[in-house]
Amino acid sequence: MPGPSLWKCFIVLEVTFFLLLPGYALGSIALGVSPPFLEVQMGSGVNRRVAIEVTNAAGVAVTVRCFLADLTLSPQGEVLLLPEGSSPLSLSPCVVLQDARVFTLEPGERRKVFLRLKIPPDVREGRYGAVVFETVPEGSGEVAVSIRTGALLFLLPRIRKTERISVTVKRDDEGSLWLSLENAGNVHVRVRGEVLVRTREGKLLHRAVFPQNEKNLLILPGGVREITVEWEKRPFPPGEYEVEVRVFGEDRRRLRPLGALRVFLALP
Amino acid sequence: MRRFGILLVPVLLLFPFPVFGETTWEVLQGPTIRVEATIHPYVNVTVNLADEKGQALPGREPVVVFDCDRGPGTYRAKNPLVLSVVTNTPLQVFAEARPLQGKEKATVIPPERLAIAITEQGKEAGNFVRFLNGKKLLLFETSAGGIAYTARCDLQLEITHEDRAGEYAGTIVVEVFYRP
Repeated sequence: MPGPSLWKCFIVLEVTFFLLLPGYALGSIALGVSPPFLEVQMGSGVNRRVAIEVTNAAGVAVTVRCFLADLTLSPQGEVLLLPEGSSPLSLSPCVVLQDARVFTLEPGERRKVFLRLKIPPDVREGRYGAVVFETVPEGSGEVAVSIRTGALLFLLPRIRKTERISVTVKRDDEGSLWLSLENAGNVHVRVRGEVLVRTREGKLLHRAVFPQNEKNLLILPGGVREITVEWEKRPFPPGEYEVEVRVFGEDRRRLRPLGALRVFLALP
Repeated sequence: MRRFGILLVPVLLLFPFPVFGETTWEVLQGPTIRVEATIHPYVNVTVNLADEKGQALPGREPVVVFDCDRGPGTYRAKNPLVLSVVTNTPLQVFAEARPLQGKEKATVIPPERLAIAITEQGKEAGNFVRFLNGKKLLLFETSAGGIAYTARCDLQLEITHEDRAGEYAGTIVVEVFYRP
């Protein structure tokens, strides 16, 4: 029978143990992924194995469902997951998920999920998808909460890249310029550009760069990004002007022209 | 004496070595310890069930409970959620709701009748925004890395006279992905 001082030791140890485990027995779920983004370039016929690490940072065990999904971007740049194999740029022919599709992560446990990559010879364009980890709610509560996260995977075969952006421009209802940039090439591109407004006589009146709030825009093959170019001030009286849009691809701080358009529009 | 001093200074400046004696310096080669660190890109997402003050509550996993006890109307969830995202990469945070299915009868409450209000730390309370069926709501995005984002998520459910009595179950998915 332990003495009173020994009991006190047990209680202190137990309290310390619970305090040192953040989130233990709290109503929380926590999932971590590393890396959240992978861009792999490799030749066809080559085998490669990559790992993605998933961590349960909460104090309770969690069941995780792991699956591959196809990927696209909305015109506003939001990541949209599609069922595996539904996209023409699906990763399906190139990626095999080697680990169990459903597994349990104990509190604090880290697990590496391995993917085997092999690009068939007939793949002549970039392939885009995601390895998704989604927690599976266990309770039968009114509204359960689940976390879905994962790693985006861009797979590029060693091919001759075609990079071309087709540009559409029009004036929106509020007088701003609406641009639509479509990637007509076979790999993704990161672009930025400028809009030049000139009089009919060719006098430059205004120059605006895009995107205005970020470094560049990523456009997947066949994908479209839409942006609005805001005028900082009203730089010119209403009238018809020549609008020139120049689009550049950005690669290691080098800019290369990918597309351009010159039209006459009534502005602003 | 003063003239001597004036002459001595330029003479000393001409000789880059000690004039009055030879001194040799030896550089001792000590061990060089290289330090290397690799910071891997990561995303950590945590969802807590919280009390009114935003403190995490005990329980196995977060479950949002609506106690609809006054007939048709709008009901606020008993407890808010606290969403925390820590990352060193650009990212997007979305929320998506699935329909609430009746446990006993084949009745459904569509996600459009669920709404979420986001209150970011240190900012004013956000307005309630309805979920859309099969569509994600963008809660937050950043094009910069090095972000520790915390937000309180209040939820509300609207029920009508057509909703039968009983228990319903659904899911809210918090989605976090790298922003390419």
